[in-house]
Order: sequence, then structure tokens, then C-alpha cells
Amino acid sequence: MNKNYALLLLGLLLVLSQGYRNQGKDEQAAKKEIKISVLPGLQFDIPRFHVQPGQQVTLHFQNNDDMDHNLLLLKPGTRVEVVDLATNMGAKGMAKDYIPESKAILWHTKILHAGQTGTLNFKAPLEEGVYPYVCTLPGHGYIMYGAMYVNKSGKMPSLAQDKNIPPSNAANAHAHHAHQDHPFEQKPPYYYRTYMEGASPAAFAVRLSDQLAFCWDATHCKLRYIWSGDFLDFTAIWKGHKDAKAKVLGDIFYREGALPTLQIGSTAHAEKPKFKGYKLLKDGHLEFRYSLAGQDVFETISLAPEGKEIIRAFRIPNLKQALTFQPTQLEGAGSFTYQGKPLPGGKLSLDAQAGKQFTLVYSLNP
Amino acid sequence: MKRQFIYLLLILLGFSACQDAGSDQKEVFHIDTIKTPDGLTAEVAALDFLPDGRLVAAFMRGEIMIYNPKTAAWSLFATGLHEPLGLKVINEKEMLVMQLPELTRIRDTDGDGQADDFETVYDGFGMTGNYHEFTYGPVSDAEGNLFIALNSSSSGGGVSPELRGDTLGIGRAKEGKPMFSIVPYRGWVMKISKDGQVTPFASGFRSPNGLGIDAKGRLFVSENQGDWVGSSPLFHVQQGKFYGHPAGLVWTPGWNQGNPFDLGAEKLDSMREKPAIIFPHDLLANSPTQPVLIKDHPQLKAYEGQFIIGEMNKERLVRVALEDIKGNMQGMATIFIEKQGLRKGNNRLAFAPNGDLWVGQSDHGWLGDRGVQRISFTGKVPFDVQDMNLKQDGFDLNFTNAIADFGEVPLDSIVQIRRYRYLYHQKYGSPQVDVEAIKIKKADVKNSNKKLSLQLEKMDAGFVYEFQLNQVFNKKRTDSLENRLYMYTLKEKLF
Repeated sequence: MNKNYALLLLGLLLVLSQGYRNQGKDEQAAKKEIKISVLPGLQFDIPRFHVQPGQQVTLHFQNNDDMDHNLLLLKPGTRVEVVDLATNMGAKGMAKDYIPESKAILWHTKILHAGQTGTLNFKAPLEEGVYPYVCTLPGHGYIMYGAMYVNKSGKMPSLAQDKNIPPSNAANAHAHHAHQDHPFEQKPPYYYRTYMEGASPAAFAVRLSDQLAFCWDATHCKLRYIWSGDFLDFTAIWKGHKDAKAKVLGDIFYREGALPTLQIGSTAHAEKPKFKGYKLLKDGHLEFRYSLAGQDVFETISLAPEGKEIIRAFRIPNLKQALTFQPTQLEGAGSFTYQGKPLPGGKLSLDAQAGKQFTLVYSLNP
Repeated sequence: MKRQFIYLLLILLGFSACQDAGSDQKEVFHIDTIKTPDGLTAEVAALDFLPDGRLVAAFMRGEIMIYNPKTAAWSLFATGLHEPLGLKVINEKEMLVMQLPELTRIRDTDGDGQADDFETVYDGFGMTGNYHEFTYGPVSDAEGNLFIALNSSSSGGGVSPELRGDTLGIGRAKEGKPMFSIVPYRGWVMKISKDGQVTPFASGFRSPNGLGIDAKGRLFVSENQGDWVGSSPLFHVQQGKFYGHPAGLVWTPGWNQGNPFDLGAEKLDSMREKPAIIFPHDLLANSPTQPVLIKDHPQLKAYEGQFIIGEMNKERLVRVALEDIKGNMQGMATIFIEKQGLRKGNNRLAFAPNGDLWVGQSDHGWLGDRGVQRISFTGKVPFDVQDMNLKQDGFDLNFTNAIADFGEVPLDSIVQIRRYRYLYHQKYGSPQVDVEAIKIKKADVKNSNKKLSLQLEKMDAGFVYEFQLNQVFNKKRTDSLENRLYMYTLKEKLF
């Protein structure tokens, strides 16, 4: 059955390529119109096209993806250089549409949001060559690019041997592109249970926003680290049949050790914490529950509405003893505050009443 | 223009070639492929059914989705799960899910069709972060006890800096690269009683990718060929027994015999419980998966009480007919469905309430396929060997239909019997050894021509007896036997 499909496909391709070849002969003088959109996994749907030197070209770039993109046409051989420049623009890039200062850039669109179309009208260069087009949003340009062939002969290498187009590699599709990895759109907050670096194998990764995520460890029943930037790369782990961990794509800016942060009563807990599960709250945040010194603890880690603070909220409804909160902070400039004040000596002590429900705040821009 | 015409012709030829597969099996069942949602990597990790006939499917990337066969619509029930390789529906708002780190009860408490509460039922086993620490089940017996199985860890992978569970260094071979068990209960089947009591139930499993309970409540577990597993078997699993892979023995309560790998093959062989069924490698199954029981199935009455088992490496499902020989389970295995549109990677199976058999496929870096297929049965009884019965000096082969007179054809060209064994050793897999052709002393056709009784020259425990049947027709000679190979695992003789 599969073979028959392949045959059918082959037939269709051949018929189509005949059609294209005939069309090609008439294009010399005519104005060329190119339509490009986006495929899942950071790819332009057209990996390359051909124009005659000096030909008038109209290029419509339709961003049908759900993330932002732009399109730049560049001088031959300058793609990586321009992409690096765009990457180095850092936080200032957005305001400038991720268009760096460079003489290598011939034409470009602005940032196109989901559903928007940008149009470029230009006269193709007279000099024959392979002119890259690329999206320079952070991370995209290394895999999201294509090639405009400018020559009189109309010749292009076979697709399989073309070094000017991205290797059509499914693995690329996974990198940086978590929301394309499932049959639904992922909007933070959302989570995965997966193998993570710097945690036990029973780990949670929770994405709080496009720029923030944390790792929570179900073995130790505690927060392990928080990072900023992109979320996770599952490429290796989803291939299967080999050891792998979900790779943290951003920068870890806060990290705790495996030792207990929460201490109920004055002596060390006789038993290890016991993970009991979690609730998916209406707003998508997770409320972890576990028992500590025989007490049920409920913990939620969320982002304040303005996105400037991480809120760590605890409920221990049946608390009968005093408690302390003292993270073994291994990394991180900032620290948690309680009622607007830093923890004295890095340690918060609460009596049985105050400890029934309390909130700690980590300011992201102290 | 002329050339385009030829391409068109090629296309048409391609279509017509699709239609020429007419066989007797085709009248017994048909297979269709279910369209899965765009964006889904359909590596099926688990399947089960809601009482109303909707399919629940879990996938390796952590989704649980519900498919309504009436509307062909998929909906999302849960996401973010850690390789949910097992699923047991309680009702449409509650199910048990076996993930790598735990058995979880997931519930939709607000009735919006999506799970919002995730309760850890059991996570008291260890993890090293090794990729092969798969978890299987749960299945439940009549009393409501749950059984799960924990894969041993693969030497093809390593161990993370942080573990879960207290480690013992001795569940690992000093030489060679067999699977290992350095955290609790890797390589075990665990029992979880209704009140939450957990019992380490049986040990010695390497990669037990399939649990099933038969009509009498007996637990069966399939196993994959590899180190200490000569050819993939199906075990009848009973409490306290050891099933052959040494690594997990260290977690036997009161274990005081040091590194189990040091005991040697002979000693380990004397300790182990042998398979109820051996699937000869490359002949029947190389990577058997989940057994599902044929129970009260109107179209498969001939096979009532038997198991259908998936196979990863071929476009095949396997059928197992067991018999109880004085408390010892053993029996026959053969092909149930081969090709006919079925794909490879048949990792998970589930019967729908209406009797359709749904198959979920996966590869996950191994040989296989992806997606969901549905097998509907027409009710026509295929001409086949229904089951086999062990006799003092041979076997009875029971056919689903009366067989035609063999006429002038000599018996030994119609029935050819071989036997062979597999070695029990640390090496990965075993060749067939002690292979020999077995002579038939006497053959009788009984029971209105539905039973072929064979007396054999040699009957010895520990061998697989392989029956190859050629040119066997049903009474009216309308059907010939589609299957040719039937393997009986002679674990114990009748005495």
C-alpha cells in the first residue's frame, strides 16, 4: 500500500515538475511573484527559488505561524554573520525588528506577528549568485533560512545536494519549538514530567511564561532551579532508545540544593518527604502536595500578574508546630523575601499559626 | 504531453495494484487506520476504552487523548506525563496511569473533560535516570489488586548523578553488559492491594513490556529476548518466584547471597521458573508486547480464553492458547494476524466494547511504526488450529473446522515436526540448540475430523515443539490453512 502511494507521489511530482519546467521558459522578462509562508519547526515553506539577474520581484512573506518572524534578503555568504549580529542585539533587538546594522542586508520585512504578511518589491541583483533569505529572530536564523538563486541559466543543484538550504531534518523541527511538538498549542503556564539536569529522575519542568521556567523535584518535594530564556529542547529525549535529558535552553539564575528547604518542628524530619500529587489549577499553575513530618503541604509557584516576581505560596492547613524556611541557595543573586523583607540570615521562622499559609516573593529585577 | 500520459498511466497502475489482495483472512477481519491529529507524534504508549466505546490513548510525549469512533474526533485529556506506558480506565473521569516515576490516579474533578487532579498511588521504587527504566501495567485481578512491572536498567545507558531510592551496588554484573538493578525493584513485578499495600511480587524480569490477566485471574507477563533471555517468552507469574534475569534478585526480601550475577548460570537456572510460552525468535516474535484476553467475544468464540499479543518487529499479532497441566501453564503460540494492512510496532492492544481490536503502534528509536489501527471481525471463523492439548505421548491439534481427508498425500509431507531449545545464559539471546526432526509414530483424525491426534517418538520437557502444516484443507476444500507454524512450549510433560 505504501509503495503504491510512493508511486503515485512520484507520478504526481513528475507531472508537476514538467509543468514547472515549461513555466520557467516564459519567466525571463516577466515580473516574478514569490509567496513564502512558514512550516512547523522553524522552516520557510519554500527552501529556495530562482530569479533572473535584474528581474523585478515581488516577495510576499505570510507569517502563518503562531510565533513572530521576519525575512531578510542578504548578500551571498553573509547569513551566519548577520544572524550573529542580530543575536547580539539582545533585548534591544525587538524594537529594531532584529535588523542589525549591516551592509550585507539588501531588503527586509519588519517583525510579522501571527497572521501578518510583509511584501518586498525589489529588482534582483545583476550579479549572479546565491542570496540567502533568513529570519533573524533569536535562534531562528540558524535553521530558518532559504536561498534565492540569481542566474541566467536557471540552474540549481539537486535539492539533496544543495548546501544553501537547511537540511530538512525533523530533528531541527523539535529544537526551540516546543509548541509544534504536540497536537495543541501550548500557552504558559504548562508543564512536563521528564528527565532534567540537576534534579532527580522524578522531575517536573514548569514553564511560567515565554521567558521563565522552573524545575521541581518530586523525589525531594522541592524547587530545584529557575531559569530565564527559552524552555526545553526535547530533541534527544524524544528520539528514544538512548540516555537523554530535556535540555534547559535558558540561563539558570536561581538554584537550591537537594536538602530540605522547609523544616517543620525543631528537629530533622524522621522521614523523607513523600510526594502525593498535584492539582492543575484553573489558571494552569500546579499546586504540588506532599507530606513533610506527617503534615500535608501544598505548594504553588507562580508568576505575579505583572511578570516581575515569582510567588512561592505554601499552605499547611493542619500545622501544629513552628516551621522554618531556609533554602540551600547554591546559585542566584536574588533571594526570596517575606512580607517585603529579606529573610534574616537567609532563614524565615514562623509559628504554627503564621505557618499555616505563607508566601515568599522572588523579585526578578531587584 | 506523451510523457505526462505515461506518468498518468503509472499512477493508475499504482491504484489498481492496491486491490488484488483477496484472501480468506480478509473475510475474517478488516483493518483500518485511524487518522491521528496533526502535530501528534503518535508513538502509542497505552490504550484502553471508556465504557461508552471511546478510546483512550496515551502517547510517549505525555499526552492522553480520547477518540470518539462515532465522530472521528480527538480530544485532549491530559498532557505533560512522563512516558505514560500503561493506562487503566476507571470511568470517564478517572483513570490510572503508569508513568516512568509513578503510578498515578488522574481525575477530571470539574467535569470539563480534562484531568486536573493527579494523585500519586505508588512511587516507592527507584529510578536512576536510565532511559530503559520503563514501567508497565497496571492490570487488576478479580479482587482489585493491581500489578505493575518495572524494567531493569540498560547497560546501553548509564546512571544519572542523582538517583531516586537507596542504591545497592550489587545488582550489576562485573563482566559483560547485561541489564542491571541498582535501585529497588528494577526487574520486578509489584502488587498493589486495594488498600494501598505494596508487595514485591516476583523478580527476574528484563524488559517485561506486557501484562495480562486470564479468565481465571492468573497473571501473565511477556518478556523481551536479550541477556538471560534466549528467546522472548510469556511467563505465568506467581508470587515469590524468580523468572530468570539475575539483576533484580538483590531486592528479594532477606537476600543474603551477594551479587546474583556471581551465582552462575547453573545455579540461577535451578532457581528460575521457566516460561509458559517461548516465542521462537525470527519465527514468531522478536519483541512481544501486551497480551489481551479474548473474553465473551461473539466473533472470536473459537479462541475464547486465549491471548492476542502484539509484536514490535513485524506486521503481526500473535495468538497464545494455554492449557493447565496440573497447575502448570503452558501451550501453543501461533500467528494471529500477519500483514493484511497491519503495521509494525504493535505495542499496545485493547478490545473495544463492541469487540473491535484496536492496536497502537510505536517505535521510539526501535523498529516499529506509529499510529492507531482498528481490526473489525466479521464473525467468519477462520480455518485454523484452535488450540493444542498435551497427551502422554504426543499432542492433539484441535481445528476450528473439520479437516479434509489427506487422501494419498503422505502424512510426513503434511505435518513436519521439529523441536529445539534455547540456552539460558548472559549472552544476548540464544540460537536454537538441539534442533531435531521428530518422527510421528501414529496419527489419528477424531472428533468429527476436527482433531488431529499425533503420537511422537520423542517427548521431552524443556523443548519447543514446532509443527509445520502443509496442504491442510477444510472439509469442503474451500479454505486452506493460512497459518503454517504452531509452536508448543513443552515446559512439563504429563505424568
